[in-house]
Amino acid sequence: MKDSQVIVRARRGEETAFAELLRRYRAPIFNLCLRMLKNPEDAQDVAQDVFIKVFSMLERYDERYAFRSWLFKIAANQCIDFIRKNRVKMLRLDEPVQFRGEEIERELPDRNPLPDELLHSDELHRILQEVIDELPPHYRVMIVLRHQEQLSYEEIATMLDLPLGTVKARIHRARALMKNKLQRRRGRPDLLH
Amino acid sequence: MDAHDRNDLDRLVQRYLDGDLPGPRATRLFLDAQQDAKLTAELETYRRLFSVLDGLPRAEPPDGFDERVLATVPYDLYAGAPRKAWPQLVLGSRPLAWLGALGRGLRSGAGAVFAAYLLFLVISHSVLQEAASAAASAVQQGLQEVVRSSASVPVLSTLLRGLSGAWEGAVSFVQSLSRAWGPEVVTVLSGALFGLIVLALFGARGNDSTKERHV
Repeated sequence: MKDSQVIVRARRGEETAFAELLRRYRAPIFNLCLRMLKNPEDAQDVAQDVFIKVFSMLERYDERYAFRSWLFKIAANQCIDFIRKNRVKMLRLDEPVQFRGEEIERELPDRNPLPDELLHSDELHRILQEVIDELPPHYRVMIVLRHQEQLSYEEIATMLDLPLGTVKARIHRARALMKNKLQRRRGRPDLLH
Repeated sequence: MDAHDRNDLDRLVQRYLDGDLPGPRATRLFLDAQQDAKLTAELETYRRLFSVLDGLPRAEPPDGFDERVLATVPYDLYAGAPRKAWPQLVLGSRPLAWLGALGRGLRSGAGAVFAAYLLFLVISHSVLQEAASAAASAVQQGLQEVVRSSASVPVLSTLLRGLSGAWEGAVSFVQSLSRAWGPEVVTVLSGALFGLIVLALFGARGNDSTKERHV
């Protein structure tokens, strides 16, 4: 059944329709929140707020657009709002800093040497997650939407109300930052080979 | 290779892997990569990055997440609410919210009636009644004066005549009600109406503050 049909049922007040929407989108929304906020408790709270907001505003949803886009837009905005409100708390020593409009990466010693035996898939995923966490939020959201949710550039641009060129530039920049960070991991310049 | 070239190469390679390069440029880059070890290495590096990013496992919400979300769905907002058990029919899906709303309503109603009663005590004084009547007449005279002086501006004059007529009508209506039902009833009703308008305004402001800002 298509999302639009489930939404019609939800608007009639059918409880099973809300459960169905939640089943379809619980994982991607929680995942986006977790990748953005880096903390499972915060991610859970914000993901919960997203669904509460969406379910109480279904009447305002415009069927001309994909429900998924609308949902992710609300989720991305909620995450960015949360980060903004908790900026001081979430600031990390190893995050890039802004200087005269440019991002400067802080060069800190790597606390995680990478011996060969650790480079199994799980370990690589952990390292990758750390590198994603180090990205500024407006780059992080792009990487999650593009690579984890497999959204097109156009969908991301519509969802985040950004020009297509800005979306492409941010994704390219985010990937380049990640590649550089992964290559600079101490002792493993070949991490991506 | 300087930073500018470095950025250009990064962008070019990513566009190629995204399938975002036009055909001839994509073909040229592919052919160049056959001759250029550095370009080949760059392509492989990004291909691997794309692969590990796409393969990053998706996190699942913890146990109990669905139940917590579904417990907060405002089913009563939607038309044709589902069939519910009788305790739910009596108390609603969220009994505490329902009782809270009832309490707020009763408190507001009692406040409005009390305000109306106080107003009645003040206005029922005969001196104040005369003063109120004199004030209404003065406003009426003032409006008529303004209507006369604005006769040269047709649009304004029409508007002011309408306003003056409305004021006159409202005063006559209150006076006739007062004669029919007595000043006490009219005063209490006016106070209650005033209280309701104030409550509605404050209620609307409260709702506005909870609206979604981004959608």
